[in-house]
Amino acid sequence: MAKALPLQQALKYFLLLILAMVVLYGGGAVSGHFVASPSAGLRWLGVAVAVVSLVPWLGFIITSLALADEYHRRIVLVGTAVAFVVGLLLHVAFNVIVDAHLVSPTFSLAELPVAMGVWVLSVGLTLLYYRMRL
Amino acid sequence: MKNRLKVLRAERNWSQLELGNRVGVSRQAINAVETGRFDPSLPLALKLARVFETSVESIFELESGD
Repeated sequence: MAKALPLQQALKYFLLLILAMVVLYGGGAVSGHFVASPSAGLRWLGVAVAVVSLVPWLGFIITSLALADEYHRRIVLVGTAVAFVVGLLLHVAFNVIVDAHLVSPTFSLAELPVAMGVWVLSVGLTLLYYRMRL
Repeated sequence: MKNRLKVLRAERNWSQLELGNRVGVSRQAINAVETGRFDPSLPLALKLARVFETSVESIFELESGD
């Protein structure tokens, strides 16, 4: 984190994190329930719930960027760009692996955890790069 | 880009954290600027010049490769 936050602001930030995690997890469960429904309307609702449940998490990331100073903001933005490229390569590689029958065709990547993992890893590596470069 | 941030800070006996608080950035950001790992934005450079009561040019200097 960039600067020292006032306690009230830090509490709001922490609550946003908790809310984002709860909505992300809960939204996924609710969406799964709707998507399995025989009704097309409910399945569409499941799609909407799945997408909307990501919004608080994105809000948390945007809030983090807004609270960061320009040095940390640069690290996160560069890390996000790296994550985009790594994610794309991973996605293409996985599809080719499936097409080449190197894994079972029924095997699927957990998109969201993989995307989050790649993002955290990319930001971490960018942070290390900025700390170590001369 | 070279800078005299460390010298100016030492003259005033300020820590990186204290300077960071004065210009609204983290200690890590000040450290990155001091060691040349991060070039500050124009607003931050102007804030640094203001707290040291000097000009931006007297803090930051372009190197031959810049």
